[in-house]
Amino acid sequence: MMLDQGTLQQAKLVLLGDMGAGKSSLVLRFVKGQFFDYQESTIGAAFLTKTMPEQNVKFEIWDTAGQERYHSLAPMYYRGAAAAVVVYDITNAESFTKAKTWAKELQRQGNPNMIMALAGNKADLADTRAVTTEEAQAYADENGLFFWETSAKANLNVSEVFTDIAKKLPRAQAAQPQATGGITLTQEPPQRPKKAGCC
Amino acid sequence: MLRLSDGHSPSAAGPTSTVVDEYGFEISCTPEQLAVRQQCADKAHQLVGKWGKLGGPKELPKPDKLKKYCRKGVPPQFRGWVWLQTSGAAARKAGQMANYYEAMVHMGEATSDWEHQIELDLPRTFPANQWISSEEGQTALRRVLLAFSVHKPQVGYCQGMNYIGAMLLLVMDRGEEDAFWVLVSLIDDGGILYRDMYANNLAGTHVELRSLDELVTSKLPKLHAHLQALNCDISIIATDWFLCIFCTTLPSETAARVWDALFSEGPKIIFRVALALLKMHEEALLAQDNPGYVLRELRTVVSQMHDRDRLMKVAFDGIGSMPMAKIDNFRERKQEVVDVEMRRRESRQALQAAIKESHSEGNEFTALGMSGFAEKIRSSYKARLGGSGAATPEQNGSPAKQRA
Repeated sequence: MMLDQGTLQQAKLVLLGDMGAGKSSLVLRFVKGQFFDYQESTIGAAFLTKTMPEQNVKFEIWDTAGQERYHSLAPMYYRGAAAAVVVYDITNAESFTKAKTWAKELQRQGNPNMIMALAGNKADLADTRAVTTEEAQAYADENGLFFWETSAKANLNVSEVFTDIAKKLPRAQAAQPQATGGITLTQEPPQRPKKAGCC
Repeated sequence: MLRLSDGHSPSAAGPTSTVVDEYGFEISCTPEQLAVRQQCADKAHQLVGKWGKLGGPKELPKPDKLKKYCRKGVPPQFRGWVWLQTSGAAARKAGQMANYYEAMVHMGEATSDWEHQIELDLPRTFPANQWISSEEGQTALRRVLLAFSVHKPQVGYCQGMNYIGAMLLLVMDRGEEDAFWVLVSLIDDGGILYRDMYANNLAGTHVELRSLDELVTSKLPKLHAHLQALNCDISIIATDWFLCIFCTTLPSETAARVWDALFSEGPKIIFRVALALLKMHEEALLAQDNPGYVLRELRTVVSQMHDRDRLMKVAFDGIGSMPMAKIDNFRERKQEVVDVEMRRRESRQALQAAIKESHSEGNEFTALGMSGFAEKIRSSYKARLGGSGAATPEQNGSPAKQRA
């Protein structure tokens, strides 16, 4: 059976987080079921799609570069996104601090209805954990984020993150495929100014 | 069967075979692509005689011929030596004390704030390349990047430099010191690339991207209008072209060919090649209805650009005139805009940090009253904006050595 693309809900999703937290690995696990011990560091951004037929959702995923100085490029990717996954490395406390910064920035400057998830990646390395589950869970609860500790390597809770998001996407618009094959499900006008700023 | 992908397929069809290219990268080629690679290699081989006459080469062609020779491509066996000369690396090296590189390596190993980030990226740099992923390759790349991070503390380490450093090592017969000096020639003050490409929140890269956008407007107006209608900012498709100078996107042999011309003629080559890639695939890009698909299509066709002769022909003969003065003019205007945006961004961050700091100091608000509290935030904010010359991992990435 082929799914008719026209009835699929398309949702733009962006991954943000510190360098080496495992953003690309999470996406690769989710989209292709693959994992590499050494995933090439992302420069600029990567784009992948994944359809979840059970949820009738097609995710259009933007995977971004993590180094702090690349931050100035990020708004290009999160503007108009329906969802975001903020990733940190559970063995690296600084990456959790950085994740909170991202969540704040998205709350302030992202689409107001953006669905957010916090992913504490590298859960397979719990022996060297630097961020407790309780602390991250409390932060996620306070800020209305889904939360999972994930492992792209061990394939732990990866699809759960995306399933949570898919289920929460606004259903009302699912029956109205966008004529342009549009990129978002937000209320934003389709035409934004030509030049978006870098910060 | 449920269809899980959107049916996109790479533009090349037919059976493919996997070969290892000149620089140790596995590439998958159709019979047509293999034939085209062979043609280009044959042509390069014909040029060996010309360069060889120069003594191996021990000297460069005369200045009036150099540009032409480099545009046709430097034979791989001479590339390391030629790049060292044309990039200005040899002159920079000669201008320093003899053991400067070793001194920088030692200093970097002992004191670099960037060790953690460099370590994080080393195994993630061309992991499929056998030599780069070997212990020897990792050690060489580590030393080059650490040395650079202390040689140029205003830049430190920026993602993207790992790929450039690796590519230089691969092309320059794994010679660390030569690779270091060419990296310096690209990025240092007065270097080949535009200033602050890797520093100061990539301000220079933003400037270059916007200058490219202007050139796309004038050279490829139809494509520009299409990208604009899709809200597809040029940064989405070209950021890695600038930060990695095509070495992560083009096949390595083609990228090396671009660098032949880049070192001899300067950064306008990056613009020419970018415009050539867009022009050659304009039709395919016009058919895409979403920025993501534009990026994916472009990445696919660019990764299959094995016909380096054709790419360079379009870059030099198919784009029309493009004087450097015009690019400099764009740069000047875009720099002003980017400076304003960067300052705004910095102030916002400094203000947020100042407010956060004041909050964490408990009930001071009650003690100081409104105006006292505001004054405290103001002075903390001013102090933060003061800044220092060297980039630090705290400003520019995760803290150093946290796993040490």
